[in-house]
Amino acid sequence: MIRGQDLLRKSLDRVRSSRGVRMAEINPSLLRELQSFRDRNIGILASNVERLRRAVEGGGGHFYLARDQSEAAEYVVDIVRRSGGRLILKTKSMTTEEIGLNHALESAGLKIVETDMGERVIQLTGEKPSHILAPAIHLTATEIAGALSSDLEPSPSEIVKYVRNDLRGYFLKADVGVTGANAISAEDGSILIVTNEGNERLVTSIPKTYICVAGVEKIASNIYEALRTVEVQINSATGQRLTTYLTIVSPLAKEFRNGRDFHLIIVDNGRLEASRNVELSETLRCIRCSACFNVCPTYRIVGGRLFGHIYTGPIGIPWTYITAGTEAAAGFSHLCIICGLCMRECPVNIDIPYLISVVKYRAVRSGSLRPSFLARNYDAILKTASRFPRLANIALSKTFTRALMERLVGIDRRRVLPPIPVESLPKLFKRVRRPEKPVGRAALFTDSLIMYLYPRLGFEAALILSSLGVDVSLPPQRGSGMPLIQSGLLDMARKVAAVNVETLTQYVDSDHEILCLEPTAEYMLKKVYPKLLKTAEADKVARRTRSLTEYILRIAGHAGGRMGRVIYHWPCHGREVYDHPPTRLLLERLGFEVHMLDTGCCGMAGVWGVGPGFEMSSMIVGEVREAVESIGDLDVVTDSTVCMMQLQQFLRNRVVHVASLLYGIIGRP
Amino acid sequence: MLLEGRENLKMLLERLEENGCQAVVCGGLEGLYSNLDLILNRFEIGSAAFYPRGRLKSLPSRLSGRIVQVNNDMAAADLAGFKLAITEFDYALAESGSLVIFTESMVERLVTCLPETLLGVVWADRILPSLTSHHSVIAANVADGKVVSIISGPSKTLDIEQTFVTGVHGPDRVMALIVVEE
Repeated sequence: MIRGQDLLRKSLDRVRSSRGVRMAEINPSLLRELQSFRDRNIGILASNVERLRRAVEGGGGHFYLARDQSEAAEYVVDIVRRSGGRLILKTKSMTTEEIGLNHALESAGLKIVETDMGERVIQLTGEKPSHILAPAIHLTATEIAGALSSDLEPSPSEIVKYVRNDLRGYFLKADVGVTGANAISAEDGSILIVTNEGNERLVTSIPKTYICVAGVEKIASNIYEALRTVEVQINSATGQRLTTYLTIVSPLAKEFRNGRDFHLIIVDNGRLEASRNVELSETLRCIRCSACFNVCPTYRIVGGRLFGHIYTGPIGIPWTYITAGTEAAAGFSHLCIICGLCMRECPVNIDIPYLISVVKYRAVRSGSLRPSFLARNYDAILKTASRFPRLANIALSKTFTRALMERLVGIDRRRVLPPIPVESLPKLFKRVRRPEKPVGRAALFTDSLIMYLYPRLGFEAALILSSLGVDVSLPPQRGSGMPLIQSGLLDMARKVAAVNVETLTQYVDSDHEILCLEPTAEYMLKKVYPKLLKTAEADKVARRTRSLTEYILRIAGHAGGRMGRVIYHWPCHGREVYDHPPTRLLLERLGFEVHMLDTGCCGMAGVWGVGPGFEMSSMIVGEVREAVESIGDLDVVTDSTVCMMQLQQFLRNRVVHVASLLYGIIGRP
Repeated sequence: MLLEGRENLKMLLERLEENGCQAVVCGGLEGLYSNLDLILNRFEIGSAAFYPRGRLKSLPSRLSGRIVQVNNDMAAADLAGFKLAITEFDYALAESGSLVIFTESMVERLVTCLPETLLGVVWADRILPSLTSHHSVIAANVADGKVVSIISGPSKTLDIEQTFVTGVHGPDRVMALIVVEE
């Protein structure tokens, strides 16, 4: 167990639960509006910077555009020195972390005091923050109290009282106040700052000199956009309608006309270049709500101390690439397993997994990230094993050869693998009968595991379809390429995508629907291939792609009797292509009582869980195991062979693929 | 009061409560003074600060002798010594259960921040539906040199073990007195 892991997970679940309630109340058109003006502002960042400069200077304030972090930090130090101030108070601000402001001020002999409760605890304990909203989320009250004072009672209320009293003295004598910004209006230079504690009210009002440091992406065109941004940020971050405090200060404020100074430092540090880069600009749409953290399976295990540089969590990977470079991003990008759950949570619909795969691609090209041998060659390894199944099975059954495979190929010896089947899917498929008067035409896209490890499932799916009167084909195909995407091998993935799309286009043109037996395969065809290839053919294939269960729901009017109770595990990539799982609906129509698991990723993530990620994978599955055990000894149904492999290893329950279950009910001749 | 106004008031009361505020509806100025009287009875004489503004420029003599009227020459440290602060807010936001104040001076702003209890008076005809419904009001006040403070409950944190603790840097208690005039 990693330190603070349990606290972290509970905190993330609590936040996720309250934000879920709030986000469900929001009219989706408001989110689309937000996304739309965020995108428009990314396109006019440079001109908005100039509008903002004019507004701030016209209002009597000082404006500075810093090209990079050191320029920004030096400029702030210079302001403080010129003001004659010695004591600086600061609110929580990721941008000031990014520019290393605390270090720069301390190096100049100045005293900086954090005023956010969590940040102050982190400053006093010397810990590293683990979350952008709750930096001390990983620490217990006992740990904090022990670090602050030997006679402090380890209760949250006593710690808060202690820190409040400690900080009150600083507030009343501070010379300089520094804040970040949640949004800025280019129209009038208004700076919007939100907190629940109220420290921003003191930091912006008492010190003689006020300095705001913010990234260029915080600039909205006007006050309406800034308010809307902040509102959704709060809704999505904590589930509150508004935080306790929202303060709007501007250079026009009369408070700054009586000897007080107003400074706004806008930090570029790679953002303007990113705004012009079609592959990365989407990052700047981020409103820093951190909703993506709540569901990230690896972040939930390791937290921000490992999963991050300055910026943490899933969206922290592209942020780090933009603001700190390839090396820094590569240092933790491998922790993203491209499950895609983060994208579903993002209120502004950022394709975070794809952005991360772009960062990984660049890291691989620069030599900062090394893809595993297994990820690079998984398809060839499976193909070879399936050509020599008897030999492969001997190798899989011996401790010595498993150790050798771990060393040479990267397959963890602890991973339980199924035996390599003697009959391949193309061979089995020859036994599928073609209906005389078909009700539809379908081509199966199976992905590698069904093709080579679980061909029986592909065969059963074909028999189900055939029994329903569907003319089903098995096109020649390659694996979907997800392990290549996961590892940043985009060039290789693009080639695989091109081959598959070329083949599948012929089937689509001859009136076939493409049916996927693996949610990852469907996700690749629908979401990833169109981005990788940017061709009309890829779009055409995406439009004609369905899951097996969605297709059966459409063509067959099954209604069943009582079929018993099952637990359903919805694979991550299935959640990226459907709002509601068609498999659950189909099972219910067939008469099953379905217990839907309210957990996230099972932790397998394809070759990651087979090889380099086995250790963490076995921790992630714990949440699913707990949930299943709380329901009882029922069969667990899933749509993915990848999840099936993981759950079969770590659950006591029987785990079945949906194709196999359906075959038993509607597929048998 | 128009139907829309009644709906806004109802929502405001619900949301203030959700935010951990105590909300009291007062029938006109007399109702307000009676409620202030009751509240001030719980505080020592001289421990409550009053910042006159808006429609609440003064308090009747039966109350004024028990409060300290704050002016813009006072220092932040002086304000920190008060247990209670009373002032008028410019608007309330129904959807979020918030009180909105547009301030021109540091003291006017800090009086709503430093004392342990904040008592915000707002007129029922100044309840707006939501943060963005009347954004032009906010923009106009910014242009007029005001700092905008929107307060939705007591100062709080969940930073330590996700335990809810109030009274971090701002007031530990927030009360809203909503004045309804026929």
